[in-house]
Amino acid sequence: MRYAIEAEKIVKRYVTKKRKGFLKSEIEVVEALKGISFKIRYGEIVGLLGPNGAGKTTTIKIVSTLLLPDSGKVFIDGVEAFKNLSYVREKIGIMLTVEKGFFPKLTGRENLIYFGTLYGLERKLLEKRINYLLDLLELKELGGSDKLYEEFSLGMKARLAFARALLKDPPIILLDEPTLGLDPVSARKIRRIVKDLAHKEGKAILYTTHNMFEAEIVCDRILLINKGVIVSEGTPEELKNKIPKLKVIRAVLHGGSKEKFSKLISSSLNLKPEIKIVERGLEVKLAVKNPEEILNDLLKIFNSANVDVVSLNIEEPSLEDVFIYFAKGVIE
Amino acid sequence: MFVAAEIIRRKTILFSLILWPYIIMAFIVLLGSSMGGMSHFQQKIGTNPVLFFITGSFLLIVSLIFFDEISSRFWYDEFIGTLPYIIIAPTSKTMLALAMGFPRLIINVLVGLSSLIPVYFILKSFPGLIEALVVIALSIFSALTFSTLAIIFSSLVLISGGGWRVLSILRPLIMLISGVLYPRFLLPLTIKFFTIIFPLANSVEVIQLFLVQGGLTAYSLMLLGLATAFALLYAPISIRSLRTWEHRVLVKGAKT
Repeated sequence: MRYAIEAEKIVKRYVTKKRKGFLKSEIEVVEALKGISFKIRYGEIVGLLGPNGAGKTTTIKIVSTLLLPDSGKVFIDGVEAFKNLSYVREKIGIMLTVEKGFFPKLTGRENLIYFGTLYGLERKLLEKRINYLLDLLELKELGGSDKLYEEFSLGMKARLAFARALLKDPPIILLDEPTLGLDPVSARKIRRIVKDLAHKEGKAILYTTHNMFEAEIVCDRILLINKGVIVSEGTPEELKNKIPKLKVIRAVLHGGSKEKFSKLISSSLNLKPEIKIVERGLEVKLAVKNPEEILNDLLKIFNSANVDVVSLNIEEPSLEDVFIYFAKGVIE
Repeated sequence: MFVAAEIIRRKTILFSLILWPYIIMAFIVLLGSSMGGMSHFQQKIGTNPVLFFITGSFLLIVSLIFFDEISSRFWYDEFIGTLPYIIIAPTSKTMLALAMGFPRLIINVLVGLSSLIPVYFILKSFPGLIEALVVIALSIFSALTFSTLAIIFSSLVLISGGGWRVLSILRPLIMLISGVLYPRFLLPLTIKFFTIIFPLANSVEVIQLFLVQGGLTAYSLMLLGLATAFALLYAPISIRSLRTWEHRVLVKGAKT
């Protein structure tokens, strides 16, 4: 089977100079990617999920042929990317930053015409395509078609950047944090279109984000990346099942102190709670295998401390919990 | 404090700050000592100094278009975040670089029509109009023949990463070597010989000789031929230089 994207043992190091004086400087090497490998099929949305500095943008730049890896190979549609740049670049649509990347003194339409022409699209086809995309992303309604780019809101800029990624109608789309900083309406719009592009049109999409919630709702499969290493991969459900079968008890209390509860719960139940101050009071979080077994004892502790229990929930671990679990594994 | 740090930490800016006064001084001394008064200029050079310098100024802004556009344009693309999308485009970067200069070349030619033609007409009446058009055509020729070498210089600016600091060294050097603002044809052959590989210098001499002699001679045609030959010779090097810059961008990563 031919994969849309294949990355094999990609390594990338950044070499920077740190000044130590007028004529002295020190070389610093940062290993952004430490030999990552993954595959993406057509019709699939794969999320690359990780914190800032994990290597998400470096990965997208390498896959899009904007950055040379130090070692490893990238295959796009079965073709080695860096040996066939023209062929590969025809297949890819890319969206990098949301807040810039266009000419400020051109309108939305003019910017798309410029890039479409640069990408070799024939004029009539380009006009049709631009009209379609401006409608799809509601840019015409928002006035983005004839407004100068410098007057665009962030939501409009994101929509225009997304439109450019789709200009060539590419089979492979790379999106680097496409909803970062967007209002919920624009973010939801983009997510919906991304899902349609993959599931209805069969495109392969690599989607980077540090938003766990977004990754869970958009992506078919997730690659968890931290410090240049893919720490785990799978569907959101598969990832949650990988961590030890824990459930989370979350209680919000009115009154009491962090230190007091931490000591009480540690000594009585032999568990280490996560306690933080929230808007409604104090949030106590415990990860346990069988919450029913300790619930009574926990309520007794709260009663004896004379606090009001505002809310008490038993939850499934979230993707954030999964990520922290795997990320801590890497650090240790 | 920041300005001092900006200068001291960047050696290119320090170097250009030191070098700049010497370059300008050399230019003015060279020019001034060869001129004297207006009538003396006319007597020695063979043409009206107003015509000479207005033609030279026009020639300067037209000829350096490709150099200015390419070296600043890709830097501007990096600044506004469009560079990754330019790099990823299938369009040849050399063709793109060459195409960049044409819109400004057209605008500058139109400017030339509005600035050169009135001056030529006032000083030389109707024959002056024809001369102005010939000068404009030769200026376009000089811009085109300089384009490939301009791409090489611009690539050096881009590769060095020095931006305007490197530009501030290169630009006056180009002005000096090309001879736009002094009578190049009066230079001794030994000095001219070293600048023969500079297409712009050859074109400038043709235009200056045209002003003085009122026509194109066999020598002028030879210089035009040399300018064309060197422009074509530099073409493969210009392609290579842009590819080197592009490779460098790919190694470091196009900034987003």
